[in-house]
Amino acid sequence: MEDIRIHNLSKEYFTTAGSVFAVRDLSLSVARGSVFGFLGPNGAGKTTTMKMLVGLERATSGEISINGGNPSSIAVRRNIGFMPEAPAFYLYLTGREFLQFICDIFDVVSPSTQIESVLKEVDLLGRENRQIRTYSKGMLQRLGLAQALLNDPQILFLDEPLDGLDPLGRAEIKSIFLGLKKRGKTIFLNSHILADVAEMCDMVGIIDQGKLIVCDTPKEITGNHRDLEDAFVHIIKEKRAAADQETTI
Amino acid sequence: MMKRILAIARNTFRETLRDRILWSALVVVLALIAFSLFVGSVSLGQDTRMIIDFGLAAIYILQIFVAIFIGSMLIFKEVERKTFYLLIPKPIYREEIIIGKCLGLTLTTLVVTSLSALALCGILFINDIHTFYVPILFAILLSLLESVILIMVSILFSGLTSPILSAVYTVAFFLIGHSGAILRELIAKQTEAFATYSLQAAYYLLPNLEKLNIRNEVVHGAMPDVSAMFITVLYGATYAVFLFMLTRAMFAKKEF
Repeated sequence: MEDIRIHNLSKEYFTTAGSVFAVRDLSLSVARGSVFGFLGPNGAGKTTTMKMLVGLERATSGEISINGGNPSSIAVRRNIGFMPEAPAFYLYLTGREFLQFICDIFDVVSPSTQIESVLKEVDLLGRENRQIRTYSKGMLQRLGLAQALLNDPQILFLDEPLDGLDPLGRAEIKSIFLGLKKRGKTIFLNSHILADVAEMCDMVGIIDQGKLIVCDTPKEITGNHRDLEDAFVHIIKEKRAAADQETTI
Repeated sequence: MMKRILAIARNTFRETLRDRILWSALVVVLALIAFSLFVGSVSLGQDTRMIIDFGLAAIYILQIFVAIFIGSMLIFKEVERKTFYLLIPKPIYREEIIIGKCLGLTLTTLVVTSLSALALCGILFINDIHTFYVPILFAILLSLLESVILIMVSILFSGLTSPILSAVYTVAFFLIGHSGAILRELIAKQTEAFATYSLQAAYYLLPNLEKLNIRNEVVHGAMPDVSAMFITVLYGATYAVFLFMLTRAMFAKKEF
């Protein structure tokens, strides 16, 4: 069963200099309970795709199906968690006040218990009564993950979730993801840290210049290369060289 | 739906209440109200009038300041700092966010208005002036309604442009809203059709904010006509709803 299905998705931006495709004819699907790593160089269209998946942007064309519905639907959004890249918060609130605010939006039945449980899960317990402006980058990442987990979502969208964390923090967050996977949650994540992606993901999609160029298991993509990072660099370079050659002809 | 709106309102209220600019403005206004005692004492028998005039003006300035300058930052900060990234993907309608933001800032305005109104009433009480409380309350409530209209305008502009431009546009809206009589005179003097139609459009599209100003009557001891006030409140509320519909349409198309 597929939790996420994207079909011929395109996003075109119109500027005074003409139009630019951030994402072009993207099609992929993510099975329930799996971890999908969405990789690509800077400006490849990863964040734009994720923004369309969570309803922050609208697709120019194509279809998105999250749990059988559209991301603009409130019912679908009840069941997803989203952590943006370098999440920004209301700095004068405390961590607990912010989580309480999110609980109110989701209308969580017993917010205090849920907040305690999530704080424990992301290792922020004891620091939740400090104003967010005093948090370190790693703590902000943890709080970002905490707010994404508050509604106990079936599907999680995580944009660079390991950014800003030290090796110990990364190991902890990875173990949280693996725990979520064991509980049958579906995770769609963007990341630059390919070693972590190779370790956690069941499937990996590589996007460049708005187009999906490969989608397979990390093992298949790595093939004869040293590791996933090496494979990633080679695949991007090969595709770009082929595209340049086509343009020359 | 109501719970989500209240959550946004509470959050906005808390966030704006912890903003130092707000408290600095309140201190200035309280100092101005206290200063009215001195102005009253040197005004040769006009002390009651001067205290009320000064006090009401100070409260009005505070309300307008909060609506225009804090309101202009409200949505822009969310977009610029990307806090909306955490909010929009949640199960919440965009109109709930607008109403919640407006409600939260109105609540903040209400709190600072109440504090400064208490200070004014305290000064009146100390000076043995006991007959003006109800008209003062009416004047303050009407200016609060004006600030709600300006909050809606600020939210509308702050979703479209930078805080500085948003504040400039809201100030322009405020000034034109108080220049209905001047606009009418200008329309009468126009000879060119385009200028006449443009001024007429401004006259009919922008609200007549002077209708919400009964401070002069109050200062001169007149009791405001309640039925006229009711119509004014209805007019102000209708205009606020119209602004909400505009803001809603703007937000429905917005991408983040």
